[in-house]
Amino acid sequence: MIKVRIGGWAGQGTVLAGVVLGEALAIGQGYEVVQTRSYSAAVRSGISFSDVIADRETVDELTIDIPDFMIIQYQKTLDAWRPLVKECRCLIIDSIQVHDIPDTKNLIRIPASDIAKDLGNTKVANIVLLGVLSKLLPELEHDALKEAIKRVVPKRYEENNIEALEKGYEYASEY
Amino acid sequence: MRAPGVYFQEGNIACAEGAMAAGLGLFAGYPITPASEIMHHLARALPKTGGRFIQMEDEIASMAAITGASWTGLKSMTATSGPGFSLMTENLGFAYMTETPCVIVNVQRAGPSTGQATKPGTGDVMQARFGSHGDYEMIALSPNSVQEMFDFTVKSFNFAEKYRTPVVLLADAGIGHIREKFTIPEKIDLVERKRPLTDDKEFFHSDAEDHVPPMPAFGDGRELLVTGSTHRGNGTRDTAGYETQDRLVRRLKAKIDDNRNDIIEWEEDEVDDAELVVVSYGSMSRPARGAVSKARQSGLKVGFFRPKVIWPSPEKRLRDIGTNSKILLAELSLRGYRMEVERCVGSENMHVYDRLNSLPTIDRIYRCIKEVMK
Amino acid sequence: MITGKELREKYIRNQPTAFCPGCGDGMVLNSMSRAVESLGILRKDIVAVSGIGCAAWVVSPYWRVDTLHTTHGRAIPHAIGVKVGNKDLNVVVVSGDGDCVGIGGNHLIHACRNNIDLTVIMINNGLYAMTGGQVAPTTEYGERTITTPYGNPSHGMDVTKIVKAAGASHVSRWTTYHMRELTKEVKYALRKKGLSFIEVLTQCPTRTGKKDRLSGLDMLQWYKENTSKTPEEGKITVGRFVDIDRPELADEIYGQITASGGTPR
Repeated sequence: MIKVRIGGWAGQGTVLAGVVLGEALAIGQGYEVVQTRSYSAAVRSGISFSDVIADRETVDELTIDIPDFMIIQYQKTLDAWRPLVKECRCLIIDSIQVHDIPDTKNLIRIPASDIAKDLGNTKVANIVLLGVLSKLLPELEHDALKEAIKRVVPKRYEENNIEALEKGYEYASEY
Repeated sequence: MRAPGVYFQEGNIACAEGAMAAGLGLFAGYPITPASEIMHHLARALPKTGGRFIQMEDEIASMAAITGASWTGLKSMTATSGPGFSLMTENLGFAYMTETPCVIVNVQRAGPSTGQATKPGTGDVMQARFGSHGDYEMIALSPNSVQEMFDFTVKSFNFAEKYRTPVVLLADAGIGHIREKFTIPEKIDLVERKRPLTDDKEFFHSDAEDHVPPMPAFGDGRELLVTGSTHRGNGTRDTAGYETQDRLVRRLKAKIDDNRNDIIEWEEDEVDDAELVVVSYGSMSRPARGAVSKARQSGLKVGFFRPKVIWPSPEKRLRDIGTNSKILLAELSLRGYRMEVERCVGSENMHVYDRLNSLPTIDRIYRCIKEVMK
Repeated sequence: MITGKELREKYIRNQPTAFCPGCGDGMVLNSMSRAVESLGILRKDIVAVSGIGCAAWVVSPYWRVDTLHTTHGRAIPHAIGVKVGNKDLNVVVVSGDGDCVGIGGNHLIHACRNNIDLTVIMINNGLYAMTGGQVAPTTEYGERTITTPYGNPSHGMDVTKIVKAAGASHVSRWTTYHMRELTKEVKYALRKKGLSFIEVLTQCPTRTGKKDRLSGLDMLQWYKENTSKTPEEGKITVGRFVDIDRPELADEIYGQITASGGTPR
């Protein structure tokens, strides 16, 4: 079973990243996938997160206890899940948004927001982070992610998002 | 409307797709979390299929509009959550009394009152059945996957048309807001309402075995009298007569009661030799089913039972199970289905795992199973 | 020209009606039937929708067209469903003042805003008659009713001003004294695209009449003496107040279906 949690602040495209990941695993790779989202009723504030749970058999687990991977896009999200930091296999952190980074070995920090800014669209930081995941999670096929982006993201942002994915993947490869 | 195929989508979107696949002619609704995605999707997609979409001023009006539209011969639907469903119950009773086919989707959230708008709950189970006033029966379905959000929406329309009655699709945010794969099949079986023959005069009484009278449409030239007051077979009001009230209200109830075997549906697994049967429905039934598998793998004699149609309840089957096994009801509310299950299996035989706000993990329910079996 | 007897046979069912002697509701029914007859609209193309109260009975069961007799205050949203469901139907709502602007006020406002093609006839007798003569949103300040035995501490409202502000295409007020004008107005309303609102001040000899010791005829006389077709101090103005053209909801919805490539089912 694959268990990934992506957490950020409302407006960071956290749930979209979950959708792209879920789409890649479900449609691209034929997994059974449950992707959840959680957000507060406020439109422009609050922690939002998305869990992706995938398996080769029916997935009846609709909530994640301890994720294998946690992608963290915002300081407050990390603060909320600090107890999980040591337990999960790997943390992927946007080091531009998160400053108080725990001192553990199981993490990779990437200036995703700055990389996105260089690509001319700060909104694609979420996909940069997914690029990192595609390097670290062996079951996840890079091409399936690319195809998922093509299906999920509006056409005019497609190229931008695919570039972001590649940048994240490269960064992780050199890490 | 999507072509047949496999999609990775949210439960609410699958519901909207199911409605269009069933031939939805008019949707009227009012925004509410966590049901709004259904109307967002339909606002864009429904007109392309020839269906009408209206956002009304409130849920009272939404329920009224779908009732009015149904009498023009269209399949109609609204979608809401608990606070809106409370407002709809007024006209839901009217739709029931006038035998108006329509579908009401309630994507339940944590209540009471405003509660937690984005969090799941199943506290409206009793309301779906008893929320309006007077003696009545209701058909309510409880999906537990994105696929079932599609399938059960179609099924809701089919029941509504077949039995000429409003049907509630009692979903919850735990299913409405998750994404999974679902398949839109090539062929979908649809039921259409019984139309009257030229000579038919009674549209509010039937001596047929299923108790369902034929339903004309406005504009057919039949000078219809459709009223929420007690009425005779030809629609004329009888504000005080014993016979009319007795015959009408009993027939409406019999329409659901006597067709119960056609309506009720459940999923069960290894119930027969089980010492404990976990009963669950809606999103909670997913981790509950997972916990049962886990318990069985560890050698415990545990079965699983899930009503797919929650009203009318699978009363007889629940009684049978309750005779041979202990029951653990797992639900996302304190009293959602509890009274009904307790009525069937008896309180001394029943254990409850109730939880609010969010779904538990499989492991959490597994521990509860072990506790109960100790 | 159709005779009174022929008109009654063609348009009225379930006679005799349950209306009290001297009630104005039958007069409104007469007026509506004459309007339909002279326009040549087929009865099968009319759907009459009503809520709860004496006025609701004007169409259900008495008017011989398709009728939908709904819940209290909710006639208008049911009628919207009918009209959007099949825009070829002529949809008429008959509602009392309590039904229309008391419990149903919000629906009325939004129907005017939508400018949905309905003819809304509000029969205004100034109180809740069927339930025993309680104070209504239209009861004047100081009036005594069974629930305002010391005089109405609140104020009655002019509904025509509300529906005008909300955007109705056509707004008018007449009384049961003005039968010819009323029939003409209903005719106009049935042909007018958009929401037509006609307030009909109607006598209730049973509730208001008994209290003031007035017969139905006395009350008609009162309407004659206390109304004016031009604004006049101390009198109620009658006539057509609004007659404008603006896009109508059902047309718009059908237009969007067609524009999006669909064909209305």
